[in-house]
Amino acid sequence: MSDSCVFIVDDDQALCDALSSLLRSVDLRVKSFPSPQEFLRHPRPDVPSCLVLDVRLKGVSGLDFLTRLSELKDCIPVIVVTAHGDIAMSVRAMRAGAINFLTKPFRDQDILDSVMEALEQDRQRRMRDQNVIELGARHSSLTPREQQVMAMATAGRMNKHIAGELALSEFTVKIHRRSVMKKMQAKSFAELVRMAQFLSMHQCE
Amino acid sequence: MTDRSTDLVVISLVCAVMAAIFITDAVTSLDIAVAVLYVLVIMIAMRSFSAQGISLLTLACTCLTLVAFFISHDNLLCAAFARCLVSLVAIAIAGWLAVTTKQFSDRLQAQLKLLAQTHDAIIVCAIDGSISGWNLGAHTLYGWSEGEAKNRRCWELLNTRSSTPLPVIKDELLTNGYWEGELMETTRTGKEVIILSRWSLYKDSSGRPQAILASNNDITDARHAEEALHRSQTELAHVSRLTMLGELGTSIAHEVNQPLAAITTNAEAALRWLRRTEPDLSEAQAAMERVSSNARRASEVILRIRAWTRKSTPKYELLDIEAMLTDSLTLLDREIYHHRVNIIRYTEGRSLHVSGDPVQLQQVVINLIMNGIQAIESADGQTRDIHVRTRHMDLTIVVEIEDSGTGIGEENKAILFDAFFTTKENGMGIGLCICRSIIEAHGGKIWGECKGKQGATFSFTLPALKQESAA
Repeated sequence: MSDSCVFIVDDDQALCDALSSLLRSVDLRVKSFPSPQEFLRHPRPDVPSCLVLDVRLKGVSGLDFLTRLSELKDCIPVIVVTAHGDIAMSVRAMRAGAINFLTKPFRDQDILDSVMEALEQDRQRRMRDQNVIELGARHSSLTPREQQVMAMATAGRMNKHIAGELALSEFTVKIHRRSVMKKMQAKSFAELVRMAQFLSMHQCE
Repeated sequence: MTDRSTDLVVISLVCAVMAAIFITDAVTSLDIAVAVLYVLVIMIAMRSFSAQGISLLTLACTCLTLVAFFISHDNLLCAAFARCLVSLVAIAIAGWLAVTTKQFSDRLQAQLKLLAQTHDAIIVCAIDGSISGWNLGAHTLYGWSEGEAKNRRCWELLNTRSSTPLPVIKDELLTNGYWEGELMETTRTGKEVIILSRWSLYKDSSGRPQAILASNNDITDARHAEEALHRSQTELAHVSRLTMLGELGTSIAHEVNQPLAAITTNAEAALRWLRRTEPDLSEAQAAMERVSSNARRASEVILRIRAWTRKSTPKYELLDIEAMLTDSLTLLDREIYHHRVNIIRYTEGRSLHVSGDPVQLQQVVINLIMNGIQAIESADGQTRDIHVRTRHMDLTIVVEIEDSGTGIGEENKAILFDAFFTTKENGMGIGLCICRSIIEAHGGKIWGECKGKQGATFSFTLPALKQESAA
């Protein structure tokens, strides 16, 4: 797990130290900050990472900071911890995008599980992002006509319909489809359909 | 009855002597001023007759002298007339002197009676304590009559006890000629009484101590009332502390929970360091050290709260005001955070020491800051600051707590510290009242004012301890 990093933001040094030690004992890289500002100022390595955030912080509330993070389009998964949580607070935290809400004192396994889950989520997000970039690149290597054919074919239209609509011969459509499959590196038509769905999902975002 | 019979004897004696003088004066023709002897009558009468009686008697003697003169002498112009005049002058002077003396002694008697009427128990005793004087007040207070008390040893009879040993008191009396203090004594019925006693030493002309005059007051009831008042004040302070603890519940829970969370996590981390295939002992050791320091931190918080909930009489100890303020602010940490209030502290940088009860003084500070926070909350303004200033001023230490809240209404200034005065919706109106009684019990003063455009400033003073005694 050395290719990941856990950030802690807690103004209580004692808790920072404790949590940091616990996470380091399972070979995680840990960096702790006494305030959200310092966390934001710190350059982050491009590895799967997550943030353990205390609700009660001097100056700014942890929950407000969580909202701020989503405004900044910062996708780092956040685990919110608090010493005095209530339902209202946990609802607010989850709605603001926290992936988990733990009450101090927490069981070591709970926080470790949460951290692992968060790191896994971040890893998948990063992979997904990578996919989007790669598929996007492949997609943009298609000619406009090929993109049209791909969109219509993956929408379930038959070759002759596509040919009719685009005023092409059915043979030409077949050539375009083969070219699309090749450029998109799709092994089957089913995979091309998944790629098209994936692209449409993430390009809309 | 004895007085009455003595009076009768005196009256009959007066009448007999008067009659004898009159007969001698009227019947015999001795060439001496027999009537001068009426002076004797007046002197005899002086003891028992009133001032008015003496005047009448003098008049009677004058008349008898004149009557006797006219009976025994036809000729007015003779030596006998001169003798008669001498007698009259003598009678008049004797009469006037007797009346004035009588009036003076009457006044003295009246004053003595008044003195005897006093409720103060007045005891006169010799240096060794044997009682020679015992007034009505002493009789009423202790139950022994004058006759029973006389010649007995005062301090044995009354079982006198005191925080200062008796010989020390006597020494002080002999050096200063005066002593005042509280004594515990037992009355005839066995009742314990607290006595405020004032002793003065009576010396003879050569300066040798002769007797002790003790004027005693029973202050048992007053003392008990005072103690009851103190008790109820302590109880009230305790109740209000508990109320405040209730209000601060979440802050305190957080204060305890934080180190507990650190302890749990550190302990689990230590276990994980040890369970590794290659145990990391130095990491485990560091984690265990953090466990112990956090345990200490938690127990300190609990100790503070226990002190708060204890219902004990105030214990005065040497106290650093700054440390006391820090402790109070720690308890308020969460409230301050929750209401987004900034606490700004100003100090002179040197230690300020007072003698005081830490819990009670914390109670005052917390009460004032909580009020400040609530005032800021209801003002809902831009600035959310509370300034806490401490400084030395002459022989006192001043602590000022200034908020940027709603301030104090002009109409409320005078009744700010009154019991049951409150501007809060569900306030009891006892907080500031208790603050005042605590500060006054510490020998200080507390007041509230509006200094700037907005907000209120509450200040209190405490007598500063001298640096050498503080060191």
